[in-house]
Amino acid sequence: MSTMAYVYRFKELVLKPSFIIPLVIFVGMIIYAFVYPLTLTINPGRWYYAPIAQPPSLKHPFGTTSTGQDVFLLVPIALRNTITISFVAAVISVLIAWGIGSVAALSQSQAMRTALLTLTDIICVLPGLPILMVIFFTWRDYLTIPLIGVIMGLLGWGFTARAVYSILYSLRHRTFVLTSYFTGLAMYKIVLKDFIPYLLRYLIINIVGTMMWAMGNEVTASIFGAMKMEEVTIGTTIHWAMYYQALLLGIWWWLAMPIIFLVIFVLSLYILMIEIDKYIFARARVTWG
Amino acid sequence: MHPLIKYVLQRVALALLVVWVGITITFILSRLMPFNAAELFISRMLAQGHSLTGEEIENMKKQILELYGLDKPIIVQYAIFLRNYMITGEMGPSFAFFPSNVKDIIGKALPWSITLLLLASVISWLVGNGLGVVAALTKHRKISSVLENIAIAFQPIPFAVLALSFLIFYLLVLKLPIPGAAFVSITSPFEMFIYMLRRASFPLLVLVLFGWFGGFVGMKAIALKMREEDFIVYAFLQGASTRSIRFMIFRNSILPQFTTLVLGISRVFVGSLLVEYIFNYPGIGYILQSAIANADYNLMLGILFFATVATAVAALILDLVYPLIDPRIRYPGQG
Amino acid sequence: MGVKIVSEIIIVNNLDGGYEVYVGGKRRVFVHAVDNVSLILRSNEVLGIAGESGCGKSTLAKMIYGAIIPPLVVRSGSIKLQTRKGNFVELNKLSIEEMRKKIWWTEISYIPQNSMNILNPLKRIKDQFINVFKYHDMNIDKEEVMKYIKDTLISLSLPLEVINAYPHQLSGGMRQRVVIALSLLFNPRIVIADEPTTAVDVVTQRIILSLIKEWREKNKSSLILISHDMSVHAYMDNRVAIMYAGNIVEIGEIFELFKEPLHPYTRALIESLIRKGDKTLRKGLPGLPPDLTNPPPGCRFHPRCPYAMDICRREVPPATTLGRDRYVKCWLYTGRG
Repeated sequence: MSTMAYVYRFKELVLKPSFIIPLVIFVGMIIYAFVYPLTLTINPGRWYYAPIAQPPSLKHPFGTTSTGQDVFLLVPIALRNTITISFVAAVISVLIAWGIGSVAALSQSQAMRTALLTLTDIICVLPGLPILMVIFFTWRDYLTIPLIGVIMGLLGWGFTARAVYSILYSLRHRTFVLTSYFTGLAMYKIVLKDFIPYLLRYLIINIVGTMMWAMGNEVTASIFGAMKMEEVTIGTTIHWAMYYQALLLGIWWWLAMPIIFLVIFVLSLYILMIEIDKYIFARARVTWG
Repeated sequence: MHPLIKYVLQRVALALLVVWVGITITFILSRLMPFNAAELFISRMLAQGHSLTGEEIENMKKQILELYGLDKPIIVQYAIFLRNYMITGEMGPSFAFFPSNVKDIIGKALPWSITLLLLASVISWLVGNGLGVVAALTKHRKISSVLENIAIAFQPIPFAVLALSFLIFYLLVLKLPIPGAAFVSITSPFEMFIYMLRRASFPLLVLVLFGWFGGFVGMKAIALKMREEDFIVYAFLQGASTRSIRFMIFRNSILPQFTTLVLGISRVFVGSLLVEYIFNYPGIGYILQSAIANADYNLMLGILFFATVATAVAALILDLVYPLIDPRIRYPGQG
Repeated sequence: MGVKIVSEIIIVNNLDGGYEVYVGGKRRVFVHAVDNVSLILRSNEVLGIAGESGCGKSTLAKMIYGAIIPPLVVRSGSIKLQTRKGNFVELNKLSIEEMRKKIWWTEISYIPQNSMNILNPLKRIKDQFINVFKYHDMNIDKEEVMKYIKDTLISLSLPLEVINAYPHQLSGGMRQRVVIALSLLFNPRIVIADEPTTAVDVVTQRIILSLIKEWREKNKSSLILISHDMSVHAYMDNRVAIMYAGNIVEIGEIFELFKEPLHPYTRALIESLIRKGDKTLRKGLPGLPPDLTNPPPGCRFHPRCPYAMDICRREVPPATTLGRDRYVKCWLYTGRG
């Protein structure tokens, strides 16, 4: 590597506004969703502890709902539950996807590869959301927030597995891997040295991508009412707002606040992912020459 | 065997497999329900106070018990279930739309849903890919970067959130009415189709408006690479006009993107369920909402099955179109 | 009248250019791929351009062809073409649009390197031919065109089924013959062939070269042949120019040049060829061609030259003319060394 090469330093990443600003927003959101509710003495999900349908004011900065809930207290709980669901779903589905994708790509057996790829194709084409909605609705009394995530994860790994398969499959035939192999490096060392840094990028992208998919499913299923409706999530909050005709009655804040917070959270997470990805990519290029 | 026949058989087999997996999941869910769906149905029917004679109740009970066949071994139940769903189409009565049958209700909604689903996937895919090529080839850097920033900002946001935000914006900020289509007397299938298109236009608009980002991002990357391909450079040196070259790049880049169209159908389906419900479009999404609101399990299971069939068929259609646009599938080469 | 005199149909004068690369919108790197090159091409002759990969020969070919689009730029010099009417046009002053309409394929044509992807994979061979007619706004009568294509295919000894085939159904050699047929479609007066036989096997290489040779002799066209392979030049050329790091270091009639190579680089190229009956070990030239973003001062060849002197490191050698068609750029022949 010549000395001219541009090295992307960690310090540079940390000082970048396009990294700092979403990071601050992201951390703020996490505190608002996970720490702030711990300080509350009431359960914000309960009905009629606040005046009904008040527009945003000093006392209720985000307004109140027709069911007598304070939106400022409701949003963090909803955000917390939706983030938890999507994170659990992402971890489960990425684990499955990586298992299936890597076995399909690295296995020597053609039959195994065909079987796993066919399974992946089926999972991709199957309409996941209607299945999830029937499950959520039928077993709504038995669901917990993490369990919702687990069920989503079990059905949501198709696209990730496909991506993992093609990445690993091409990686396996890359020159730098072959070079390592022919120079006598042990297979596990090849995996550690050549694969892991490369795959780390995709792991982050997969997790964030699946989280967004799961959030979408949570919101959509809840709008249909196929969810444990007593739990406060972004989706169920929207459902109740629509159920009580919030838009027609002009109680826009009931609908807008959860949406705005979800969007800000998603965008900050996404931009962080892009910046971290750029950083890992630049570093990886330097070490591989 | 001709490779084309092999390809078609493979795709049909995959579609059948998807349908079989879908029906099996439906069966498993119906047997695992934490209550007896047949008895629940009858007791709720009675509680609703439908004026049914004793004989009618007995008849219905028999019909439902037969449908579920709960007194038989599980393998036999599965066989009956397969027969009912795949051959006779007998899925029992619906609670929400009593006394209609699940089969009829879904049968009416399905053409609407398939029309919307196919139109939405194909149009948003074409729009996304078209814009992707424009962004990759345009000399106006500004257009390209504006499009790119929009795609990056909107892509990660769940479709449900985008659709609702659009609805809020449309109703509260623009203060516009949601266009519907007045029902007109329909005498021919063609008029029916035109009516369908008119009803579909607004849901379609929303689906396309927020559905092109993925295609755009993928296409832009592919088209940028395609520009450097040998045959494009050769065509340029031959004296091909800029327009011919652009078209050539588009035509060639769109092929690898076709897979994303097929695999994206199930994602578009989720979006279309939602907009059908929000905009009262009489498709699967609309009746699914009624099924859930009325705890109509028969209808839900039926929808689940047909949703699988719908996506499998849509994917199959697109799969079968593929050889028409790629000669390399039609005439496998020597090297 | 009637007496065909040999005339110069392309005159390249002090051509200088390369690739301008923008890094991050500001830092500018200039790859000086063509440095002060002068050449002439006569009617009815084959001019070879030889040199290692990365010496700028393909860039020179692109410039002469007139495909000067960024990042490729011409900084100075001129390329003049004598048209069929006899007047000269300066190619580097024409816009791409004018080149496309008036020059390309009708006056000057181009045979690219063979590759898997050289033909649009989605078009049948006949459509690839029809497209070329369309690009040049030719009024085409479908039947006439088909007959014309068929004749061309027969003359290239390609089976007629090729006409309805897609490129991926053809072998590498057949594909390259189709490409040559496309390039020679309008019987151009000048053809630039850029490594036309790279990536085909030796037998096919011979067939393809013979095809080009026959066609050229029949049409009395001129050919600029770019190749790194000196044996290809020996088979095809009337004259050959040796290029090194953006300079033409030697030019000469092909037999003279092979008989008595003057420039140390030319000698190295010819010595690396296998000769009948010669059993000594082939000598390779040590080292690599220089980085054209930052070429060495003086003679660009001096870091690899076994005869390098002090002056070679300081000053660029002038062209020393030795006879009508022969010059060399080397301090060994200036009488000053």
